[in-house]
Amino acid sequence: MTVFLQTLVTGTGIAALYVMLSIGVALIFGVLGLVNFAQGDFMTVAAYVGFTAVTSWKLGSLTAMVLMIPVLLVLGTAFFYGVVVPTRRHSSESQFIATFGVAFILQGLVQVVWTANPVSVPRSVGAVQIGGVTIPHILLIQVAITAVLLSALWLFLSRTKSGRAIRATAVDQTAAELMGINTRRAQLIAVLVSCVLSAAGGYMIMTTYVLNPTIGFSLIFSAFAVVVMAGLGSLGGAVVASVVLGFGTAFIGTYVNSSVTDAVPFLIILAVLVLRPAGLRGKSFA
Amino acid sequence: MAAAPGSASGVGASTPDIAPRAAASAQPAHEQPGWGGRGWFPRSQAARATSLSAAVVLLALGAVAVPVLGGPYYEALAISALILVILATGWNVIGGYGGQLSFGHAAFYGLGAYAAGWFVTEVSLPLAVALPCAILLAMAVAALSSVLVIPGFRSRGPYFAILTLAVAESFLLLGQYFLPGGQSGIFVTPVFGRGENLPYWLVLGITLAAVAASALVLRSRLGSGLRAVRSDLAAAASVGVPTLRVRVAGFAISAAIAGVAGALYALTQALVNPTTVFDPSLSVVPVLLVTLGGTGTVLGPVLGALLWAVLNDALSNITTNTGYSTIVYGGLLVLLAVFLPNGLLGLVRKYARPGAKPHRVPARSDVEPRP
Repeated sequence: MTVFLQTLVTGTGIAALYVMLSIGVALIFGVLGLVNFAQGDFMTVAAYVGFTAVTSWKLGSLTAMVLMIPVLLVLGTAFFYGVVVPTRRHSSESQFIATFGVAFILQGLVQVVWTANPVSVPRSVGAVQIGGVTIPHILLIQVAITAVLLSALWLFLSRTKSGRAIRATAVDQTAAELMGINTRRAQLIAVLVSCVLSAAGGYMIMTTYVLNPTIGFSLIFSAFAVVVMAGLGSLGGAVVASVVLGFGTAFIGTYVNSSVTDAVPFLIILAVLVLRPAGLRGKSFA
Repeated sequence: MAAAPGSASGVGASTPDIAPRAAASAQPAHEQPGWGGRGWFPRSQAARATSLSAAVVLLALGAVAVPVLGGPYYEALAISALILVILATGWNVIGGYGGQLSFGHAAFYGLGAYAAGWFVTEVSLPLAVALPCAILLAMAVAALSSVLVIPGFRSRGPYFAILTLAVAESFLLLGQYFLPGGQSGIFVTPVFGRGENLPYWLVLGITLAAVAASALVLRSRLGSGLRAVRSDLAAAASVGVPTLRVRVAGFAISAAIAGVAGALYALTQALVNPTTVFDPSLSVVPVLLVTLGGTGTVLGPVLGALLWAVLNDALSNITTNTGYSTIVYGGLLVLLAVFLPNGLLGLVRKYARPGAKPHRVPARSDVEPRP
């Protein structure tokens, strides 16, 4: 029972990270129709900025996360105007290649600035013990961040004018334009929102993993597994699927074999696409 | 496949009186005969034939010069460049002609490498028998395993790309458990003597055969079907193209050619290691090479792969920090996607035919996120 509960705790941490990544991917796909391969690398950049803030500037890790946000907003704006807008009328091959290119550029930049050697921030060791189950403080913080950001995102999309514009753009861009919505602006805001989520994801990577320049890129496959399960563009589905994948990975790691966990996302993609070609929840948005 | 209206012009250049009209009416502007289009030999036949033969002569000269002048270093470089040409040419059959984006060709490259490596190591036959058998086995294994992606043909747009990616990653992660040799892979029995030029000529000959095969596919009924599927899946189905069969056949051929590339890798290297032959970059690189050269054209992948090999070599001589070369690759990809969506051949075509409208590759209808 303890092992089971402990695995549940591990799975929660993985799920929180997957939520941050896959919501960003799903949002950008829904609003821009673009599969963003560079999303994971945004997180890598955030995590490394946080690493410098924590180790060199001696800031707290939460302060570091606040610092990551403006960096990623600048990056996201550059990505939008430098890559997304110029390729918006190109074929999806061109767009795939453009976002792949961005992913490579970011990996190269990280390697040049921080070297390819694995680094990590000092771990906080505080934990809560409940009946033999260890819950690290950092996990509680991660869950709190996830809850706050998801609530904020939900309020933003459902209650604000910009949020409504984003949803309308996702449903039908042409119709939204005919209704007088500035869809370009809605798309930019969607990219910036996903950058804020990436900053939070960067915080989670920084506080739980050993950093290397391709860590975000290797996570992007898990995000694809999530969005395939959820139906590309479905945000609610992405949250549910992230939790399923997070717990699934943790339980397979504990009870089956930890060396096959890397293959779990891919087996899930195969299984889902064989059984339900349009994803588990079909195509819906927000 | 019944004689569908869309494929009536399949006879191509041999009937010039109907071909241009059929092309203009049945195909959107961007699909008009170009290099590697159905009319390989185009409107201004003389000009096009001249540039084509100039390219062929230059390539042939380069091919002969490499082993004569270059020495072992350049010969090894040329072999790996030619293997890339084969891989890119194979990818182009389904990804370029058929417009089905595969991000999983590393799987077929790797399986081909395993099949050929295992064959020459386990079965002792004279070289003249073993080589063709190994390569045929690699083709068969790769083509058969492409059934794994068939479920993806029922899905739309990005799902297919993601599925192929998942197939390749599964082989990378699980190959060490069920493929011969386990984690360390297969130590391939050397089939060529040291310092021989034979492997180079073999790889060169097979490269030419692969390019010729892809040209034949493009001009065949299957090629017309693939191009119809690429332009508009629903329209192709409505004029009688058996879209599923066309895509399955196109993918199998594509995978078989990628398997040949893997087989040649195995035969010219001493080791087939799961992490090397299923390396995800082997899935990504052909996409880039083909786009660099010109998607859906016969010579595009050749041009793209050769340029890439030269660039790779130059970069590795300039800096040993792979960070900088990664930035250069990434930057090139972005520039390419933004400014040259039709690849280098698209650029050539634009300037070679001043009257032609500069065109862009349009978003395909089956990938449109908002129908």
